[in-house]
Amino acid sequence: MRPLTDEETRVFFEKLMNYIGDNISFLVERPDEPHCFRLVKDRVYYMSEKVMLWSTNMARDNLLALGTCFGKFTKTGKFRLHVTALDYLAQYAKFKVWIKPNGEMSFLYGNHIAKAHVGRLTDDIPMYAGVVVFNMADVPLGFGVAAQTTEAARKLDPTAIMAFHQADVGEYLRSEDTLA
Amino acid sequence: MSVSTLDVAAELESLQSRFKPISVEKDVPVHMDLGLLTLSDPAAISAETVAAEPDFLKNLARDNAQLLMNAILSLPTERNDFALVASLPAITTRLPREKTLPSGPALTRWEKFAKEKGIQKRKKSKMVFDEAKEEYLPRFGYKRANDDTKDWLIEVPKNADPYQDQFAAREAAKKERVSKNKKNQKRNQASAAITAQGAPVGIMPQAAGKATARVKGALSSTAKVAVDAQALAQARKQRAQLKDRLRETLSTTQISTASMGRFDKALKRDKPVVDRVAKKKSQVTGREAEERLQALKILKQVARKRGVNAELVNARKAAHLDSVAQAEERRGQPRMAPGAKRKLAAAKARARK
Repeated sequence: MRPLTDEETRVFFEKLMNYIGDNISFLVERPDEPHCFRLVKDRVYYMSEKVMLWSTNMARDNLLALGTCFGKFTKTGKFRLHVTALDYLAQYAKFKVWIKPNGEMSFLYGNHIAKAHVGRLTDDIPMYAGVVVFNMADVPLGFGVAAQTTEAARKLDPTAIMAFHQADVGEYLRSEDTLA
Repeated sequence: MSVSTLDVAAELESLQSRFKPISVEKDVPVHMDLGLLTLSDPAAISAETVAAEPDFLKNLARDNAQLLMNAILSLPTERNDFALVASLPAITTRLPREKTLPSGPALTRWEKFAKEKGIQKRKKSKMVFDEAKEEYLPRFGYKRANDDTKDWLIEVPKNADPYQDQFAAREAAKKERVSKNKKNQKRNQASAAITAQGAPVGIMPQAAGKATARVKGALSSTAKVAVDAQALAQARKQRAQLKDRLRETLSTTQISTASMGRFDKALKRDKPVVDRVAKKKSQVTGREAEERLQALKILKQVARKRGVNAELVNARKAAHLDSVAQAEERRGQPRMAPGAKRKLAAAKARARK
């Protein structure tokens, strides 16, 4: 376990910024309890400093995970967000997409979001911006990337893809053993 | 004329009374080295004499200087354009040697040991009697006496394995001896090289001073001790340097394989000396506040790069709003600017008052 290097922090923040913009500062500076990011075996975990201090008692080999996993660094040095980060993304999301109940299951099986399934969406989403997906009851279901801007979406036909799937809570079942 | 004669005599008398005579009498003869323009007076001076006569030392110095001048002027002189020049004889004083005596070739380990033990070389005759051939033959070399390499039969020694090849064993033993000797020779050469390089030339003033404090003795002996200490220190330093270089080479060779030394079988006593540039380890705890500041700094940089903070005026949003406003205008419903309604209401309220 170690803190992220400057370069890693940069890559990580750049990815995170797609979804929550400069709300990252709320993660870095928490008013309730100081939190921090730590790297364990290429995975970035977000935890309170208290948890981090406790975890220093664990042998490196025995420490599997701690806090909330945000994602992992690939071998090529890119950062990939995991669905485990959804709680924080949903909390601070800049762009949101709400999907209708008939589209929920489709999304939770890992499909992209068709325009027909979109209940409503945030104004002025730029193209390829990160969006967090909610159901109509405001329960976060996952996140993805906007395939169109909000404006262009108005003119799309119902079957066109509105947002690309990246992660959804269905992964908790589908890839239970690889999630950390 | 008589007046002038008298004057000369008077003048001479007055001069003689003013200056001391140039001839000096000495009870003990002085040593002079005219080549060095030096005079040393071996006569003993007692403290009482000096105390009784205040000018004693001054007079003594004057007398000796006079003697030296006399001696110099008695040398063959010649006058050139500028001055009277005396040609000086060769130096007679024996001065100490400036540099240390050159040491002979470095002793080998055996020579050193033999010297300590007082073992002396004995002359051996070159020719030895060969009992088998019944004649005198050289002790070593071609056609030597008692040549055991030419044996056609070797008795199996007691307690020896009867199936062991005694000829091969003999040859192996010989090879072993040769290689051992070669190894020793190399070691001797290496140590000789170190001492040859290490011995400094001349006497270091500081070291000499230290040595004098430790060893009470004649100057020459203290100087020698100083030189020895110096050489020893130098040799030690060089040895340390040699060791360092060796370690460096070893650490390089340890990772100079296809797997960068990762999958190599380590020798029993081969310690990993690989001490490359230590990877900078980040502190896991204790720097949380600094970390947060750094994270915010990076966040600011990333945001600036993305233009996230420049969202104060979102061009896309502005364009969208503008197009909406224009569309409404075309429809004949002027859109009120945000806040205008409130301002209007406030103005009405003020008017009512």
